[in-house]
Amino acid sequence: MVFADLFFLYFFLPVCLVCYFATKKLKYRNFILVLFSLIFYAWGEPWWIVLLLLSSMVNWLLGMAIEPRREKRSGKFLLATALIYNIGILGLFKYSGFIAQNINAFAGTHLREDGFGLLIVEKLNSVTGLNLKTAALPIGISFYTFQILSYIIDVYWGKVKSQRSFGKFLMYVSLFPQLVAGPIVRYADIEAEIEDRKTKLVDLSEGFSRLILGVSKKVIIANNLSSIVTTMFGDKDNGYAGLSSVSTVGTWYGIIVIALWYYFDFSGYSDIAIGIGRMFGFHFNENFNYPYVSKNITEFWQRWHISLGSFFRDYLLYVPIFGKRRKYGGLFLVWFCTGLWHGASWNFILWGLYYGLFIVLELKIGRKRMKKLPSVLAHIYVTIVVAVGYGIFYFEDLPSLGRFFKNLVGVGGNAFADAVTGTSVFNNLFLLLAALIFSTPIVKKIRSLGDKSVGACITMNTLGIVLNIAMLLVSSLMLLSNTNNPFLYLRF
Amino acid sequence: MENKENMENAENVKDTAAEKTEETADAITAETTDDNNNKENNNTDNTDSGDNVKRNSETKKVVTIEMPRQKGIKMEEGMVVGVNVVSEERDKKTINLQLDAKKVKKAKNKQLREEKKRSRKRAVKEIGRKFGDRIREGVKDEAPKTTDKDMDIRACRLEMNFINVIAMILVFAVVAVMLIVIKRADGKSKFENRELADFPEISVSQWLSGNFTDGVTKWYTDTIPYRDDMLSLSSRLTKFFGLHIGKEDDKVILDGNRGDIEKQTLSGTVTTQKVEIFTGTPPVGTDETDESLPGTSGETSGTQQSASETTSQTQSTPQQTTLPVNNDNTTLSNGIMIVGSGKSVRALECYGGSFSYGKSYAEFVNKYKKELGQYVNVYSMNIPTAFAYYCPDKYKDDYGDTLDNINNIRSYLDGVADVDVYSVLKKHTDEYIYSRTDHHWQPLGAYYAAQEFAKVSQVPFDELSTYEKVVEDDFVGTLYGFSGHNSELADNPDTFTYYKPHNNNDLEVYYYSPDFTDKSVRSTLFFKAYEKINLYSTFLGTDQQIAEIKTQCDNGRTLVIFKDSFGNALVPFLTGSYSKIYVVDLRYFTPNAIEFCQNVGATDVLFATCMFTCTSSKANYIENLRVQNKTK
Repeated sequence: MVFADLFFLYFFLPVCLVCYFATKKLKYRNFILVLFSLIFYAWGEPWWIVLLLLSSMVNWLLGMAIEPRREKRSGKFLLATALIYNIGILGLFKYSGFIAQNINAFAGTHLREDGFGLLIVEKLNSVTGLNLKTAALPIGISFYTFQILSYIIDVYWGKVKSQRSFGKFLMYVSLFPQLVAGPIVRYADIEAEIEDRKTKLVDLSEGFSRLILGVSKKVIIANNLSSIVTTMFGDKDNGYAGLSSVSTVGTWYGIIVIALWYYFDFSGYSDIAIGIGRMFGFHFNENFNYPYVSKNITEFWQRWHISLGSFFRDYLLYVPIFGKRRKYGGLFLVWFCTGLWHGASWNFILWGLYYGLFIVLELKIGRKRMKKLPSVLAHIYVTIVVAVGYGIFYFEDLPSLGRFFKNLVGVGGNAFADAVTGTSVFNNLFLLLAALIFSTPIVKKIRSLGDKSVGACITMNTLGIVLNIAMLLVSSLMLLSNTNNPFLYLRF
Repeated sequence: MENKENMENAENVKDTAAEKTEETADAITAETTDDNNNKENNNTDNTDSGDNVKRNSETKKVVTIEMPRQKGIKMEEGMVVGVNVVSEERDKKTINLQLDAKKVKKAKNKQLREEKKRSRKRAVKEIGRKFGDRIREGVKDEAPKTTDKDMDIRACRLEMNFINVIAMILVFAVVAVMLIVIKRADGKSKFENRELADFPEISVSQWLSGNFTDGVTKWYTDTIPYRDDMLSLSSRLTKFFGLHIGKEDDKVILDGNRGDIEKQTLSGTVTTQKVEIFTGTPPVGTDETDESLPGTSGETSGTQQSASETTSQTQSTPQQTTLPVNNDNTTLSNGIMIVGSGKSVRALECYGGSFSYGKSYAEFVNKYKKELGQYVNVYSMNIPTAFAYYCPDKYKDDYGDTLDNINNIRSYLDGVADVDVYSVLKKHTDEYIYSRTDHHWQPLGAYYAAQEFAKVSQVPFDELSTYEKVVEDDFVGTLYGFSGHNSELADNPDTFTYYKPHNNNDLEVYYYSPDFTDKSVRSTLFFKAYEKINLYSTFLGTDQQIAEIKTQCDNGRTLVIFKDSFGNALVPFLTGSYSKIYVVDLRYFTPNAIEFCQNVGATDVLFATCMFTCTSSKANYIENLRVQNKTK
């Protein structure tokens, strides 16, 4: 199931909330959360839920086994087992097809490129005669695997206690607000809330507001921006056909729209997750912190998909496998993995390394000197790097990516400017302006005006409530036609 | 009255609070977490257990600072939904004491919680009335003059939070209940030319395959009550996204994908073959056919190979080609351009075609000519869509050029006669030859095309004046749905004018299922369209069936038309030109096409497809029909 969907918003969520708040005891509330989370997951993946349960069970046991043996060799062995299991599962399901593709390409072999998941399902179907859904990649596998990894490593490092109750551990892994689209919530962050939590009035209120903000970001802004992008470039399904005619100006316009679209899509989903989590009394960390106000790429990654960046930084960057050169080796590994995490395709790896390059560059230049850059130039620098980066992210096959770069610098043989670009800007002028404005912390500033006096508080909050209702209704209307409601997380 | 109530409440609350003075501090530490502190706390450093400690200490600080300033009964932010914790006036000392006491009492937590629960139950009863009073109070004196402004803002925020929660619950509940209670839309969508989703069957295998859950989600959105009105409202909203200014002709809205575009790269002039049209009767003789058969079968083994070569581009084998076999009206790969406004508004399906598919199309058609032999005339009619003529000039460079693509096809035709519809229609662009809201042409456009075809194939042709004109108003075609329900189109419908031949009643029309069995009873060329959107299907009803038409014409010639939906409109205008006409849809036909032509004794074979078919992967249909299901 996805969040940006009428069935979720007006059926699943209300029923879940009613059941949750109808019970008082935390035990029952936890049970209801787990139950609904499993239904939520099984809705899209009726079969891969087995894998989710298996992973939870294995890691729950491993966690308990590791804790008392932290100092011993057997602990190390168990940790290694856990890492191999989790990374192995992720590799098998997410990357086996990609690996087979590359082996085929380089060695000329004819391995099947469908990936491990599809093979299993086909096998099962032929053996049992059932008709299981043949989705190659269990949705959300990257998110929950990373959550489990953070738990296991933290247990090993002694940062958290192992969870004795399987129900609570399953709740942590399967919690539906963050299950399929993140953020990657660390066990340490919500350990206390798993054990004991309360939904306060302010949680419920902020939760609702955040949910609606997220839905609006996704449905009103991101979805409509995405259709601009397909008007300019086409999409994966038609082989990015627009590349054959889009002008240089149009290409630049297109990638800036892509950058805005991704921000509103990803951060909208995070907002929904944070909002719903809050209704249940969980306080997830922020995942996006206005990345487009950054003045350098290092800062950008401290503001963009924070839970992923910090995961890699904390668990991967300092892994001492590169010896003396570990600073750069580690950085390379982190950015390679960051790219690869976003999808099993070369363009994503390229995208990750592209950022790694700029991070190293900024490291070389030094923070102080970077700060000396006039702020206008700094913003232009970040905008260009990020926008071009999302070009790499968008065009998933290398020939299209090549054409994109040619168009970007104007050597692709297409015109410098085209009428479609101008028309598209005018057709979507207010949408684009809104996207630009709302990608800065302006709303946060306006909201804080409400702290000045009681009068201001009443005015701002009343406005907030009216806007909440309006935005929810407008989003709901726009969700009716799901012709352009892409779910970007399928490849993660 | 209100005040009295208020007082009462206050007392009750006081009592409640007094009862649990001992554990309030505990409750506060647990629950008065300053919201803003947490929210801003999005640092991503290694979170160790220190984080929790920090949070606790912060909270304590808040408590110690703020509590003494409280005057009268205030509510804490630490209001638990369904359960509330109330604090009362007390001084700093007590708090500190209690905080110390709390440490000692950690062991007794469980007992305390139970105690708390009892007192909560009492407090719960008050909550509703109390909130009401607070709100009324707030309205009465906007800024109560207390010493601490912050506390008032806090209280205010709390009230507003309460209102927000109530408002949100109401909205969600009302919409959720309405979506369950109100009768859902069902049957056919008025504007999208398709059946709305049905509630899926429930079964284990359906569930395992994901069809059930997918189906429910789809059904839920697809059958929203008042769906068509809601969609139209939704599209009106998107108008606010942009600025629509300029002259009528400059008003252009773009929507959807941009297709592939290839510009003319051929040598300047296209030399088309002069094709001899055979109008006599072919020499009949078993020798002849016997002689041709081994030739063809030998050839086919070779051509089958090439067929798999060509289709390998689309990564499927000819027999199994999984091209979009569904009604092509429901999917649209290219964008929509809406030009102009008011009565002259026109939706165009942006054109983008591929030269390589065009080449394949020509080669596929050539093979028909080769296999059918010299006594069967094969024609290719590439029908432009409205985009070719009505796209504003300044966008021409951004989309595919119809003429370029037609010329490309022509340059590859071999032995096949080309029917130049493009130039014919170009002369009539100020007439009503294309619908403004539908992706098809108007019957008048088909008339000019048929006229040209009759000229090329050297058959008699009935002038338009001999036809009976039928006018249907309020035609809002498929492009309305494709355009995301652009209201301008719905407000300015088309007029659909079609022409019945004078000898309509004498025509013997039969329909067959796509495998050329199940002959129907004698039928008619024209059908009453049930929905306005389907007016175009006035001709021949559905696309799937094979039509057989025996006319009064006695030239003995038999025409087989392989067509997409554009071809349907041609048929009535050819009823005076051929003795017998078979109409076959490329997308649904299952027998072998060559054998079919031979069996029905075709003298003329016409491929009449719009540009979207002959310059896209859909051209592969033609090849599939030729190689599929051979019986010999």
